[in-house]
Amino acid sequence: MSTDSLDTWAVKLAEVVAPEEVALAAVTVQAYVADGTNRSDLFRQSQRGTPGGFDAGVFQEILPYVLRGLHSAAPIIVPTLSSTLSGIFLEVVKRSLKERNEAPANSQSMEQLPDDPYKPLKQLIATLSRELHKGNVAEQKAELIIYHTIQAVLEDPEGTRQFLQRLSDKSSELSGTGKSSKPALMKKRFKRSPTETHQNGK
Amino acid sequence: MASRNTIQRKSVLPPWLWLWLLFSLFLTFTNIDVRQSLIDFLTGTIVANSAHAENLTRFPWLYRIMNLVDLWPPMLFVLGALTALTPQLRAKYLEKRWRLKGDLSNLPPDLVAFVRHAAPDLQIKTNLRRSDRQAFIYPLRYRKAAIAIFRPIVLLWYNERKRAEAKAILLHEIAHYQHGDALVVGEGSFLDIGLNWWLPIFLVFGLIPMIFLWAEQSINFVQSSTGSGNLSPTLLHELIDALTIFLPGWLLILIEEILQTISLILLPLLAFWCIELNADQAVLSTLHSGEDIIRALAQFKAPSSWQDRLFALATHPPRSLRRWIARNAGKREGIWLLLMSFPLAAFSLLLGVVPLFIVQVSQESVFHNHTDLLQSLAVDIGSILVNLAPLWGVTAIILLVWPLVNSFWMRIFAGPEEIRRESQFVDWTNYRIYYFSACLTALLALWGCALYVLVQIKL
Repeated sequence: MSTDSLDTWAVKLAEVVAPEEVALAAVTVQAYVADGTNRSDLFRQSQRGTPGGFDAGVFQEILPYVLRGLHSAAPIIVPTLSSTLSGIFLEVVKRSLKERNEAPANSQSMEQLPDDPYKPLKQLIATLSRELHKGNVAEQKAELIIYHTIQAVLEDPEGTRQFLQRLSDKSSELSGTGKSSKPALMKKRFKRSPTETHQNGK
Repeated sequence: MASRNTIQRKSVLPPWLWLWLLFSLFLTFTNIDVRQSLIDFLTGTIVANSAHAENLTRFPWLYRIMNLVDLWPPMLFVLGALTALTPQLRAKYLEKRWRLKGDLSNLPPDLVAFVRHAAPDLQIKTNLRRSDRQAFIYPLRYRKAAIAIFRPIVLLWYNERKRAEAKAILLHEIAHYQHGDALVVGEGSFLDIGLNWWLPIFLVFGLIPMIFLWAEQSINFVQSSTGSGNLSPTLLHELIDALTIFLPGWLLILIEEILQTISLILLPLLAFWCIELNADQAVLSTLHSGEDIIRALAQFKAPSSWQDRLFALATHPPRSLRRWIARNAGKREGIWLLLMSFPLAAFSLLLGVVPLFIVQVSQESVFHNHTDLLQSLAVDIGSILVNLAPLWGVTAIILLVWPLVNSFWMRIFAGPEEIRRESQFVDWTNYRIYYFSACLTALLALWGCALYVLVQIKL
């Protein structure tokens, strides 16, 4: 994926999940893909002030956490995108978003869906939810962001696949040097149960 | 009235941080206790001269390293002052630490134009990946500074509804530059380090060696008593001593160290708060309202843990105080508070007397009566106020002339383009408050001098 198309994909994603971050969507995705300190800079949440600065405190961000959520959920997303499940999940998400817009009080959580065939969707939601929680995004807001993220990912499977491919290439590039570009959450998952993660990817 | 876009170059407050830095250096180099601790640490003179120490312990060097607890604050003050003398080094360190680059391609052109209009000689550096910082100012050379701009500023700028907040933050930083704060804010990093490492330093170099030496002495004593067959009474005696003398003694030392550290830190802390409030005042002068500052503060989630809140206070005043000052901009009470806060904060050094007083009360039998005790307390307080008299004297003079020299001070730190553009001015706004604040501070200085004379006569 060229830098330009990666930027375009990130801008399109930001437009629906974090409109206030569109201006820096390209910078964000490039920093994320670059790995190392560039990526970790996106997630720093030091709450101490700097002498000569304005004040101590962290600015609320969404896009970096969405990207990390997608990266963590790559083993779930990649097989889903190339299967018929993709269309089913997209319909469910769209319906859910419509219900939320029309009657937010009556909208139901996707957690209540049966495992067959929705288990990958529920796992993807759980992964994104964990990441947004780390970014201190309020629960109600996070749920909406997750649905929009899934919709954007499923509507542009090629862009998403290429983003994940780029990360995978970077990961293999770094594995030769003994470093790893997998996010902490993903490393943890592999460590805890490699087979479980593998099965999720089926 | 100036339009909302006219940048007001104004410094309501004198440069208290500069004054504190000079005062603390003066005190550090003239303080006999600091010099004694340094000589003792480097040469071990006191330990070597003390025949008792050699006889009582096999580890006399422990006495030497215990001096580090007393040397820690002055050492940080001196290192902080050195950052003002070596701006190039500080710039290199900060640019590496925060990964700042001069590439402005991702900055909105109108943001760059805004900064250039407000401060033509200020360089712009960025790191658009970090969102836990907004912007800060740092020196490049003596008359050259840079503003580091982080992600939140750009995101706020692109958001039409929040651009005013981004402008307020940028104006706040530009005011720091204009006020000459860039060269001395490095001291704040050392204040932060001082707070961060105070407890480990006290434990490792103070309390643990002290307990170790006491344990060694007790073991020696018990071993020497074993030969005489009186082990049980000796152990009991040591235990009673530990509970009634040593343990309260250690607690007293801990309280003394905490209070002395607080007394040393409060004045620079307030000097830091003053530069922040002063920068806010400059924003208010330009925007004619404190609302943008208040909204800008609300954009950032305040630290959640008490440690982070405490450390945040080392560099910035509480948000509630900033909001109050912003709302009371231009009102008499707000200016009074701003002008008198630094001279009055000097009283915090009196906290250092409390532990001395506790020691004296605990040894009351040494004194013949309460009059002696109170007299001793008066001498302790007097000696601190005497030390403060020069600071108050200088503060009073600065307050008196500040409206007259305000613009000259800012010219010292301005770049060539800014000097060409600006003219000197005398700011007579609220001069009466400056005048009366100077008089009050002068009275404090006279009080200190009078005490000095009284103490001399008494002695």
